[in-house]
Amino acid sequence: MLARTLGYGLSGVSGFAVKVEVYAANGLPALEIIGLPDASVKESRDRVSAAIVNSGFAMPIARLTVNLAPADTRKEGPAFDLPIAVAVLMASGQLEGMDLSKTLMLGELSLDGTLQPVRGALPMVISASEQGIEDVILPQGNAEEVACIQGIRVYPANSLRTVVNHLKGKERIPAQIQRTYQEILQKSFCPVDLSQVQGQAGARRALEIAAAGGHNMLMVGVPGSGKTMLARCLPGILPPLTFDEALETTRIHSIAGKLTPGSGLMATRPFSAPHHSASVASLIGGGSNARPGEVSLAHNGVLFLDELPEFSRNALEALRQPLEDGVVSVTRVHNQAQYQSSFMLVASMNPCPCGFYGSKQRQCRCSQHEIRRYLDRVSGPLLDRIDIQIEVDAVPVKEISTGSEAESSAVVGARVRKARELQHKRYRLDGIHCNAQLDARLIKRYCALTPEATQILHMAVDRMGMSMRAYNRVLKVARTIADLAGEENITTAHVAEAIQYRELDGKYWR
Amino acid sequence: MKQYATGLEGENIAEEFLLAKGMTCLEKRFRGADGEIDLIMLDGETVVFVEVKSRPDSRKGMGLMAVTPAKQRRMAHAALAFLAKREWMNVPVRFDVIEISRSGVMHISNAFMPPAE
Repeated sequence: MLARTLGYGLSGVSGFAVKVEVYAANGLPALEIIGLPDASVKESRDRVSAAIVNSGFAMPIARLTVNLAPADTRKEGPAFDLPIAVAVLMASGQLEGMDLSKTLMLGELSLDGTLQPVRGALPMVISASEQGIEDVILPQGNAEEVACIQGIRVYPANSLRTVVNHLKGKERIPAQIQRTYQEILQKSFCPVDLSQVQGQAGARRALEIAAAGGHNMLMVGVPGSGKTMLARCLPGILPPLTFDEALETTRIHSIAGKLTPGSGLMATRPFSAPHHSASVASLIGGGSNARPGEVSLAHNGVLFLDELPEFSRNALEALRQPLEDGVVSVTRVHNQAQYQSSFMLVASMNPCPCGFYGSKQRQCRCSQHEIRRYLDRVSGPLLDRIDIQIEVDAVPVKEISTGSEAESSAVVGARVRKARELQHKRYRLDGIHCNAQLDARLIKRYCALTPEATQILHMAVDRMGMSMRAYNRVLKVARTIADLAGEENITTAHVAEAIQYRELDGKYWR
Repeated sequence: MKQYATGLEGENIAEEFLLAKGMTCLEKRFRGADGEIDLIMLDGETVVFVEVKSRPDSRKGMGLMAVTPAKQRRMAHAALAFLAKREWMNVPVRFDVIEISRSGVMHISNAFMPPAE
């Protein structure tokens, strides 16, 4: 007998329909899977047989051929276990008379027949709903992840047995209630709060500006001055993800298998902090199946590179394309995928190998040559893409002991959100959404200075020997500072503050 | 010679056992190109290929474990040869194992699926 069910495969960030056909024939008993399965799909053979028997059904004694169509696309992962098992039951007459061509089934089977969550459920269900699939049966562990998708009924199941009872109509699984994104937003939170950061008024201000304009940021400072902690506060002060951004980001995390089972859409901006030993492939994406890398996991969020000069030169240079385009193309033998990677880069580093160059508390013991070599590991082109550069010094003891509560993330976040709303409105027609994305043409249009401000900037250019690019960066940052103040015009004060965030250039890298 | 006798005796016990279950015997000691099948029975419509393992004492290990993947493959080849000889192209097929030890007869229906080539 011939039976058909429907599964889905992953290609890049979207899913494609896979028809699962099972044919039970007479002959020597066998279960053969064809249609370019990878090793994990082939192993399905043993999981499915055990799960069927342990769920109280009989494994048919027949020659079973499982075909995964289209036959010319590679299938990977254990998500085909469930549609294969159900098709086997249909082919052997244990489940009869139903049309499952509009019912998507996803799930990995344990030997005892329980369903395990799978990687990539969100992108597959999104694609399925766009392609007119009406119902989806998937493991309980994936239910929250897809709870916001419109236009498709979701039936979360625990085991093969519950799926069969559902299909037979014996005991229907209640369809999952759709969640609104608002509900999820309320649960989002960032574990680190700005109120825990003692002192550091200057750095806090810079962080706020970076968040408000989406600017990349570099912090240079002695060990233990709180650079990492400051960076970790960022997701808490950035505006929450919009629904579309949450879908994009969760999709990538789902494909990478980085979602904790049972968690829903990500509403907090991701914070990805790869160790400095990271390889190019782990940062950018790759592997034999072209998986997304850290830059894509940080999509719509923050990529934090601690100890910037310790990263390999290759890894740092590979960041240039995603920084510029907001997307990476990963090409491998079997797969080719494009992953979005529009992130805020936040980097931190010590000023020299020993860490205390320029510190007020301790003497640096590095030679000029050592410092030069250390700083030169960070290339000019990369530095050029970082709008805000600040020095973070250790907090003096008396500031720690005062113990006065600093401003919380919520307060700062509210100001950031206001500034972002201004930008959204201004750039509605330009296809960008924050100041960091302004190009030279748009800078001319939106960053007009008052005459006095122009004069100050020109003085600074002369004194600091600023390049044209640096000049434009100052303008962008000044624009953000004005937005934070809620002012339409960029004045002297705004420009003067923006210039400060370039001074490291002159101090360290010239 | 003693082993051969033990084997023969086991096969007779197994045949009795399966006949009692309502199967009919099609052939005994069928020889294919590279393998042998102890008993070929008919259970309803299903052709059953049976491997009999006689273990008078358990020192040599369980009889069941002696049906290795290589042995399974040889049985599959012999089974195909048998089906071809009879020109039975479209029949349900099953592989059983019968273990005979001091403690009695153990019948494992559908004991294995022949390994993929």
